[in-house]
Amino acid sequence: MKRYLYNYQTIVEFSEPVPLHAVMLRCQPINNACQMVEQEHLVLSPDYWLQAGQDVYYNRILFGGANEPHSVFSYVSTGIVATDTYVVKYCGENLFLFQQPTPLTVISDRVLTLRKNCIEASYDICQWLNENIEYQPQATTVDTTAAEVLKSRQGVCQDFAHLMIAFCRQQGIPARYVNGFLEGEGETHAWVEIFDGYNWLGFDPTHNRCITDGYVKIAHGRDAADCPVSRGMYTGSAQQKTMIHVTLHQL
Amino acid sequence: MTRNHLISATKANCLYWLGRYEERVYITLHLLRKCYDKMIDGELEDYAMFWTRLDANGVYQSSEEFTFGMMYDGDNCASVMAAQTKAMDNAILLREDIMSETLSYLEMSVALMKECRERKEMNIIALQPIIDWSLAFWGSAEQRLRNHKALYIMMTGRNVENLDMLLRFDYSYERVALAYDSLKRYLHQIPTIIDDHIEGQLNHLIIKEHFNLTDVEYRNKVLKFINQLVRV
Amino acid sequence: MNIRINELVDSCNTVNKWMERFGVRFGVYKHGVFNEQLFPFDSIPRIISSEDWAYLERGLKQRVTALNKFLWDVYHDKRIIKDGVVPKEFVYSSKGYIPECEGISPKSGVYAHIAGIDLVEGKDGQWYVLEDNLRIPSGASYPMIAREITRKVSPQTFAWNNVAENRDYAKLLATMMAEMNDGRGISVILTPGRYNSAYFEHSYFAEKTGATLAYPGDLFVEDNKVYYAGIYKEKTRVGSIYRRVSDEFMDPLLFEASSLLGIPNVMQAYKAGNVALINAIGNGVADDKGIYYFVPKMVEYYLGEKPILQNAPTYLPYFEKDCDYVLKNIQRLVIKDVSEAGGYGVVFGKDLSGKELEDLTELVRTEPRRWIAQEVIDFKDLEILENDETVWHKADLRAFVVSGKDVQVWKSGLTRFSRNPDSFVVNSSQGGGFKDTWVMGS
Repeated sequence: MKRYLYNYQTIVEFSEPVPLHAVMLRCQPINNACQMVEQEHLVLSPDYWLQAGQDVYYNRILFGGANEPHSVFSYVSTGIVATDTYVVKYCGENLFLFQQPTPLTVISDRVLTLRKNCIEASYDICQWLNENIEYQPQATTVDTTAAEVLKSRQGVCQDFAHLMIAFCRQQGIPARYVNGFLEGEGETHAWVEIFDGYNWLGFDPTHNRCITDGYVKIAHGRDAADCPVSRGMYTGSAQQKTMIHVTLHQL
Repeated sequence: MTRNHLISATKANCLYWLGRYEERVYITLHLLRKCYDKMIDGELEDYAMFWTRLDANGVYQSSEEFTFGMMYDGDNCASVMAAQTKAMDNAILLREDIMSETLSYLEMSVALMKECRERKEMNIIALQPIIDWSLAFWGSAEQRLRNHKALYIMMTGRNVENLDMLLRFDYSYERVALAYDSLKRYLHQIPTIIDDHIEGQLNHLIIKEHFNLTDVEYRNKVLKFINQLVRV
Repeated sequence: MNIRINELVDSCNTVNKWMERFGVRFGVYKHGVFNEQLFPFDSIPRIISSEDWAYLERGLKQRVTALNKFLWDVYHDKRIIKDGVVPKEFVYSSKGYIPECEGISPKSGVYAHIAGIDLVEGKDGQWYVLEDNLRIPSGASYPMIAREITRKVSPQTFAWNNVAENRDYAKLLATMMAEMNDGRGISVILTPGRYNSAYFEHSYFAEKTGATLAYPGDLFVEDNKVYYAGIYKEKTRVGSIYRRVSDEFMDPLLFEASSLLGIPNVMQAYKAGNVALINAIGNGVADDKGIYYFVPKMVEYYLGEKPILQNAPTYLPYFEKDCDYVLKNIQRLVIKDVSEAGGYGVVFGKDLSGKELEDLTELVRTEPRRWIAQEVIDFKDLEILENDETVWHKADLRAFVVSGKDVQVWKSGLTRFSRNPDSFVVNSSQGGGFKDTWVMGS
């Protein structure tokens, strides 16, 4: 078992006060058989009403907003998590949903020939992505589809994950998109879980590896659109600047 | 069904501007009738005053252009057509408050305007029904608006427009003061939408001692404040 | 049945002038330009005998009840899938299936508070259901106001003929909205705005029901409750929303992020039971063209009854037996693309050239899940006034079923007729007109 300290801080600044701001956050690690939250704290902007809930994939969400003019919204999610080897138990979820391509994860060409075993196939996919897709932060946006990434051969962790999921689904392997923290400093990270017939196993296509530890999971969905770590909407013409910092450190 | 007593910001804006535009239709037709009458056998000096104020942007060159344009030119924001269409644009968002019967007077007015424009009707007498329907509109609206605040906002718009026109056409102090008084009667029913500071300024300006529409600075100031008085 | 409508027929122009006076329009976008046009009204009513109506009413109640049970089942226990009656592919790959609706339990188990069931009468006198519309069925306002006007213009027509009242639609709506509201606050009708095709209907219903017409910016969520914003910081609680905005635009924090037509966090308030949404989110899974095939089975499965209303004879190429039949008979069937809406994705085998038929056959063979095939029903034509003559055009009937605590079928309907006499495609956005629908008293 390993123990990690996580610290996830977000500051959103508006160039002028916005009259209405609504948010939905996924900022707290989940509890499951291989990951247990031992301590957690939330620091949230005062004057925002915020409630805790769950989305349809049982991810923990915080939703709410402010109806008075505000220029800043910030939150810090911090705590200690104990993890075992990364194996996520099957809890009766509808696998069909994770086998269907979604607009972000649909590709038409069959580019790969993969081994029959789903775990081997996942390694093959990660290897192919490692050799053929360049990690390039400026090349894509949050709306970029797997098909576009396949064409441009560039992207960030979200794109690597979407393309891996697209390949898996083509092969009939249930696969889902995962958000969370990676050991180190930086931003939130995205990876993939595939279903091997019994459990969900983790693969990080950006780093070409099967996940054992050093990863703390926040949420999953069919693709990135299902489980964004934060989504917001505001009225008015202000410009928004977002500063995020994540720390995951083994204790 | 629980009744909703609140008026949204959009609705307040529509009610105010409906009041203004519909009043503009009525007053413009009234002034045009006077002007066209003078144009029958009068000299340019007799109707120049009307012409310059109605066609403040100097769009029209000939009497025909002026006559036709002031009635039907949708691109001229001072025309009857423009005002009637804008009134309709606001009213259509208020069907549930003023009711379909009230709205129908505006529908018919817009339809008649378009029809007269199509057949190039130069005689303003053909637009008499517009005046009739305008009065019917106000009567019907007053009957049907169940939310009194909404009615007061509309009447405020109507009175602001009236006062604006009186000032532009150099009416006497007595007429202007009366109109301002009338406006205030409605305004004070909906105090939250008055700009108190501007009301104070106007109270100071619209008194006999200071009233002087030949003073351009005074005139512009009063007009400006009238148009900024209501915050919707 | 001795029906006298001469006076009404003679007053058709007068009635249409009154329609114009009341602004009875709908909007159409052509090449990106919004055009509002008057909905042409034909004063010859569609007449339904009281016996026919009794049959239709029973059938409609039964069908809508089964559909609501299906929706509950899809978003809860999924028994109908587990028992093998509906294959799971048809449910979960339907565009209308919304995973976020899983586990949400709307009051009284009603998802489709307002159902618009499109029916057609065949030349053989048999009624068929063409389509179920459970998301945002529109059109009831037109016969409602037509009746208002025709009664004014030709009172003697209604004195002579015993026609069931239909101006009570607003009352049906208001009662249902109040029931779903549960006394939490005001009821609103949420409109996308002035430039929506059905804006007349949104504002007319607000006028007649007493509900407030709300634009997206007028509503907000605070402390997980929905409020209507008045000027200067006033707010009042909203208990039910009759929303004329599509599912995907309703909550930008959960669905389409760029939507300006929705209310952020409204789904959370809805999930928590703090506001009723009319119709519920997620109904598209039940009015999907692919699911239509299974509706008679739903009646049997949930109600243990034989379906009263019939589907048009339909084949699903997904099933091998049906696929063989379709491929053999494609030239005389109508083929519908399950992903299209509004009548554009409908192809008549008889209209295709040899090459086009070959291409379509190939598509059906390789993508069977995508298509649904039906026998072409020879609609009964209705008389339409054209200038001073009568011509015969195809027409359908949209019946409205309002479900609150009880299921009520509105004693009328929107009868739409097509623009061309021979056209089978009847749809407001492609031209045509409408008639009032008279349900006769016994």
